[in-house]
Amino acid sequence: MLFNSLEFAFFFPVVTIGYFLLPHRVRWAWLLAASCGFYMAFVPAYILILAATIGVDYYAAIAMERSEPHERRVWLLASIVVTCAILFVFKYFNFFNGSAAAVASALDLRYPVKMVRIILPIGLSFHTFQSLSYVIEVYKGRHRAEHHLGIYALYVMFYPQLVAGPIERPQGLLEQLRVEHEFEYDRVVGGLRLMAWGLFKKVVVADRLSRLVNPAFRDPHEYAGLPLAVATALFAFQIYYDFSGYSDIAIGTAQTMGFRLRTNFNRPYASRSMPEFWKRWHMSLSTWFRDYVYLPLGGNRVSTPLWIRNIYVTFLISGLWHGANWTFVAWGGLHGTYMIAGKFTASIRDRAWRWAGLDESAVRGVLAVVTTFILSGIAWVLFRASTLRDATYILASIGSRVPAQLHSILSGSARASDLIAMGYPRPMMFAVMLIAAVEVAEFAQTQGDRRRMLASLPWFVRWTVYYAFGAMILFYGIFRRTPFIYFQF
Amino acid sequence: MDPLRPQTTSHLGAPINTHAGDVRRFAVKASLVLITLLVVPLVSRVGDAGNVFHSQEYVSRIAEKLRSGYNVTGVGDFDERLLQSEIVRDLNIAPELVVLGSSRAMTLSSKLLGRPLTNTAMSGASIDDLFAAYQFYRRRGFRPRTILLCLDPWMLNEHYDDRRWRSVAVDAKAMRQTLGVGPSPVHGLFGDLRSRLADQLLSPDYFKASLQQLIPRARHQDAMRATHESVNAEMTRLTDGAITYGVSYRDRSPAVALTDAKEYLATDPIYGLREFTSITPRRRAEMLRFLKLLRTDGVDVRVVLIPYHPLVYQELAHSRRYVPVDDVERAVRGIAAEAGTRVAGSYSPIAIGLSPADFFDAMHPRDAPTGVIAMKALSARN
Repeated sequence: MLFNSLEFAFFFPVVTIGYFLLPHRVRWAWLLAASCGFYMAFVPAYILILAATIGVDYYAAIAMERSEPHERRVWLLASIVVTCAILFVFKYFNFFNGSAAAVASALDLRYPVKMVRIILPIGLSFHTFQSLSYVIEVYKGRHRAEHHLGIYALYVMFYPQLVAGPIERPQGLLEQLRVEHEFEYDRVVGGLRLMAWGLFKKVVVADRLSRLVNPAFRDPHEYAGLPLAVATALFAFQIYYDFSGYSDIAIGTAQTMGFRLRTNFNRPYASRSMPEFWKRWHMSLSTWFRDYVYLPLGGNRVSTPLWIRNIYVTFLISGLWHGANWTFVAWGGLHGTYMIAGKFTASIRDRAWRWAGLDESAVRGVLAVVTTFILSGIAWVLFRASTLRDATYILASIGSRVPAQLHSILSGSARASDLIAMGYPRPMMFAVMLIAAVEVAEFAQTQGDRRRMLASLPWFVRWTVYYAFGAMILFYGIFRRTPFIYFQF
Repeated sequence: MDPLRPQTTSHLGAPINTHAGDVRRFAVKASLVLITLLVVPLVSRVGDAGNVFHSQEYVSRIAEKLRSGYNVTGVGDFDERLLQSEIVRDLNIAPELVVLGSSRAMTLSSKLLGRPLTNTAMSGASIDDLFAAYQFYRRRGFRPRTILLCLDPWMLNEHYDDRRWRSVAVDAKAMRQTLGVGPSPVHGLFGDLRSRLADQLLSPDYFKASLQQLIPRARHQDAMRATHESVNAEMTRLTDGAITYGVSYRDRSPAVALTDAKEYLATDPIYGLREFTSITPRRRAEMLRFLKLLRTDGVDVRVVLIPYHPLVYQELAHSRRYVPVDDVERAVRGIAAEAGTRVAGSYSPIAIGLSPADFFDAMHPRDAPTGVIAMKALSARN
C-alpha cells in the first residue's frame, strides 16, 4: 500500500497502537505480520518471492558461520546468485532479452526467445540489496548470523522501509529489533511531524510539479529550449521531494515505534561538487555501492586506469539498478564521467580560482552549487526521458535554443510566461513558491533544530502552525493514487 | 545504542516523562486532533458533491424526468448503476433491442440507430456490471430480442478493480449464481474491506468538492433540468438510457483528442489494465457461460468491439506490459465463436477505417462511427 493512501492512514495507527499494547516478546511477530500485510496489499502472491529470498539468505548466513573458511565463500556465492537471479528474472530479463532481440534483428538473425509478461514485485531492488548487505556482513565476520528466523524476516520486511528504503545494514536495523521501546511522547510526536513533512513534500509539492514536468517529457518534441530546461529543473526537485518525502515518512513511521532508520538525504542540491552530491543523495544506496562494489574493487587505492574502471563499474551498475532501460545506464555512465572529470580537473580549477583571488570566496561557493545542480540536471534528463532519442533531443534543444530564447526575453521580443512558465504561469509560480518554501525550511533546519524552535512557541501559536500545515496538505495536496517514483525500482 | 542502558532523555534531549504520563498526554492531544478531523467526513456527507449519500433520491429525480418523456441535462455525479436499474424497472414491456457495455457504448441511442432501444451501458463497466445489467431484465421476466454486447478489454481482466458494480451487487451475484460461476474476485488484501462510502467520506478530493456544494445543497440548488433537446451544453441522458456529449466535448479537435490519448497512455497503470498479463481461464469461462446463457434465453446476441484512438491502439497492440489488445480481440472472437455468436467491429481503428478525427478522446469514438459499427452488428446474420 502507498504511504499517501487511505489504507495506510488506518494501517499505521492500528499497527503502532498494537505494537505498544503488546508485550515486547511478541512485538516482532506483530510487526512481521503487519509487514506481510503491507507487502501483500500490492500483489499478494509475491510474498512467496520474498519468503524465498529470506529463506535462502537466512540459511546461507547460518551455514557460513558453521563452515570452514574455504566453504564460507561457497555459501556467500550461492546466496548472492539466488538473490540476484530472482532480481534478474523479474527486473532485467525482458530488458536484456529485448536488447539481444534488437541486435539479432539488426544482424538479420532469427531470435527465438520470447519476452515474459511479468509484474515487477514492488521494492525488489531495495530488499534484495538489504539482504545482500546482511550475507556480506556475516561473511566478512562483521556481524553474526541471525538465528531467529522471524527476527531476520522482519529485518528484510520491516514495513516502513520495505519497498523503497532506506536500505539498512544488519548493524543498524537488525540490532534494534530486539530492543524494547517504550512509548515516549517527544519521540512519537517527532516521528509524526516527520511523516507530515514527508507527506507535504510528496502530495503538495512533488505531485504538483509532476503535472508541469510530465507533458514535456511525454512529448518533448512539442517543446524546444527553455520549456525543456525548466521542466528538467522542476523534475530535479520533483524526484528529490518525492523520494525524500517517502524517506521522511518511512523514517518517521519507524521513529514512532522507537526504531532509527538511516538518513537518506541531506540537502543534495546544496552540494558543491558531484562527489559531495553522492554523499548527500540517496545515501543508503550510495554507501551500499561504495562498500560492496567500489571498495572491494579497490576503490581509489589502485592505479588510475583501474580507478576509472572502478568508478564506471560502480556507476553503471547503479544506473542499471535504477531501471531496466539504457537511459538509466547512460545516466549512471554520465555520473561516472562527472566523477572522473572532476578529479582530473580539480587542480586546474583550484589554480584558476587562486589566480582570480576568489579561492575562498562566496562567489566560488555559489558557482559550485549552481554548476553541480546543472550537471545533475543534465543527468536527470537521461533518468527521466523515455528513450535515449528523447534525451538526446532534449539536451540538444536546451543547448542550442536556450541562449537565443533568453536573449529574446531580455529584449522583450518573447514573453517569459510562454517560455519559462510553459503556458501555465500561475501553477508555475505556485510551484516555484513551494520549492522556495521547502528549501528555506530545510535550510533553517541546518541553522538550528526547528523542531525545538517550534516546541518552544506558545501552545496556541504551535497548534495554529500545525493546523495551517494540515490545511495546506488537505487543500493543496494531490491525492489521486500517485505512487512514489522510486517504487518502480 | 546500548539496549541495556535505560534512556533518561528523550529523542529531543528533554527528560523523559513517565510512560503512563506520556501515553495520557498523547491520547488527549490525539483525540482533540481526531475530533477536529471529523469536519472532513462531516462536510463530505453534507455537501456530497457526487451525490453518493443522496444517490437514490437524485437518481429517482432523473428517472422521473426520463419516465415523463424528457431528456435530462446538467446532472452532477450520480450512481449510474442505480439509474439503469430504475430505468429497466420502469419499462412496461420488454425492449426489442438492448445495449450493454461501458461508456464506449453509451452513445448508442434510438435516434442514432433509427430504431427503439434501451441502453443499459454504464461507465467503466466490469463483467459484473454486465451480469447485473442483464439481471435487471431477467428479474422482470424480460428477454430482449437482441442485445448489442459491447465488450472492452478490461472486462477480461480479472484484476480490474473498479468497485462501482457493488451498488448493484445483489443483481450481479444473482447472475453469477445462475451462471454457476464463483464470486467476483477480491482485489488486494484490503480492497473489499473498504466501501465506496468510506472512500468518499475520507477522501480529501471529495471533501474539497463537497465544501463547494455546501451552500447550493442548503439552498436545494442544482443544475439538473429536463429538456426535449438531445444535444445540450452539458452531457445529456436520453429517455432510452443513452447519452449525448455536451457541445464543447463534441467540438473537440483531433489535436485535443490526441493530447488526451497521450495522457491516457501516460497513466500508470493504463485504465482498466492493471496487472492484465493474461486472460485467466476463469474469466474466459465466465464470459463464455454468459454468452451461452443469453443464447439459451433466446436472445440474439451481437458482440460489438469498439475501437480505440489510433495512437492508443498502436501502443496497446504492441504492449509488453499488458495483454496486447489484438490478443484480447482474438480471445473475444474465440469465445464468441464457441458461443455461436457473431462479432462486429474491432479494437483496431484501422480495421474499421477510422482516423484520429473520428474520436472524442483516447477511448471514445464519435457518435456516427460508433453507430455504423452497431448497425453492421445488427445487420449481420447469426
